[in-house]
Amino acid sequence: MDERLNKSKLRLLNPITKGILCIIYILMISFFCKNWLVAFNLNLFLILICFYAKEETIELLVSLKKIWFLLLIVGLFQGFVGSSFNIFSCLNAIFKVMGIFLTASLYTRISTQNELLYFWEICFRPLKLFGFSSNELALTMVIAIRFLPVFMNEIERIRIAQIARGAKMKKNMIASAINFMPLLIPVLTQAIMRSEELADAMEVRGYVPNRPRGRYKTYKLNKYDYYSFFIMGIILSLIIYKYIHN
Amino acid sequence: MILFDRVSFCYNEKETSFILKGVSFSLQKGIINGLIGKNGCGKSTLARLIVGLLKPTEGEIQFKEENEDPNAYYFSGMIFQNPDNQIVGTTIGDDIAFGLENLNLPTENIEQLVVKAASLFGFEKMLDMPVSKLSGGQKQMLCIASVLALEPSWIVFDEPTSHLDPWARIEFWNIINYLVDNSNIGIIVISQLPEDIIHFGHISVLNEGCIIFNDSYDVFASLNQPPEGIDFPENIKLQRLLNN
Repeated sequence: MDERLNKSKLRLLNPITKGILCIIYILMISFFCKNWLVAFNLNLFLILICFYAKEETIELLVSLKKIWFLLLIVGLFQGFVGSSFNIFSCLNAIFKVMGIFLTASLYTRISTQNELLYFWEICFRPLKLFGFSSNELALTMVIAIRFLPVFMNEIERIRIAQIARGAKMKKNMIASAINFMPLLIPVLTQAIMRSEELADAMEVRGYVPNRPRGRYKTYKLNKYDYYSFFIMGIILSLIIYKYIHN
Repeated sequence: MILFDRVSFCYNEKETSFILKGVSFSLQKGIINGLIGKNGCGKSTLARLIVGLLKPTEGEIQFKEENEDPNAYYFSGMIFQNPDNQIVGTTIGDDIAFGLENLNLPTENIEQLVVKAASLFGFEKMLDMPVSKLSGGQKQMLCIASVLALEPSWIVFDEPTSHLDPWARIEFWNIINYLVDNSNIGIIVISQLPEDIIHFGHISVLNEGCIIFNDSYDVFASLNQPPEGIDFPENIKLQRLLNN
């Protein structure tokens, strides 16, 4: 992972740049692609960027398997709008959803959790006007992310304990949802107990809500950020030009 | 030195049953102070009183030290039983930095102190590693590093070995002994395991909210009967068998 981290130039970008570029790209794909060729080209550009940045491009494309059913449904619905089936509308819709999925996947791949949180914290800042603390919201998110694997392990442990005591866990979707209910109460109880101890641990380490805090990592704009904004500017201009004159 | 002067505590003021009942004893630096007793005897409450998470209902706790500010909130740190419940950061570096960020220190100072604390445990090249990839023993070491980064005057360990395997326990006690010998940090270890007793220099035994024994390990080892609620560790039992 570290080797990949050193190689990829996309990972060197400032978290704010990554976030803004991701949002612009998604908006571009969603609203400025009138025909399937534009959507296809945007997808192709994204894949080429991944390849150039030495990201795991094949792995990224393989992850599309997770949404094949969604792509199919969206394509069919869009294709049948109108009197007869339109293959171009179908392809346009499929490439749009694919593009949004690939952009979001790439963004989460090239960002560490801290970078994501740094960007969210900045996004939440306007909420201060309504009395919400962006720091606390971001910290809550860090803790939620931090405890996800802990709770997954907890659920697995309780599930195995219940199977050992004779519970039957069926594999179909409805049955698994029903089977999940008995796991909820012990997991929630554990979560409350953990939260109390975590609150004590945070207090002992000097955490006081709403008090100014220092920052371990600071992020500065580097030359790759400026290059990225420049390239994005060109693409955006071309897409808007194409959109207006189409 | 930490001096408990007739300290009593109950969670609800209307309650008549106190968790601690007029406890008076002192804790010194330079040795491992052990607090032992069975479940529900008030050990963890005592630890929370030391670090300021709780305030005594009656009596007072005095921190007698030269050139120290007892009001500073990083005066004493605490390591809890389950390392999973006290790690805040998603990576090693973030977790060590959490307390330092709370002190509102400049970024350069935080970075230096993080590296300094991490290097004590061999974490200096793993600062970006997610904490979910650490073993139980490594997580406990991370918790200690996170508290040490704050450079506290005292550290309270609340049953720190209960989640560790035997090898991680050996490593844990090596670190505690290193801290006692090479730093000016006071160490208090709370435990209910008889095998932990052999590491303590000073032992305080709690039973139903009262201190029933408060003396050195040698005096403890020379007792005819163990204090109520606890047992002698195996090495003391074996020594006695051999002597007989």
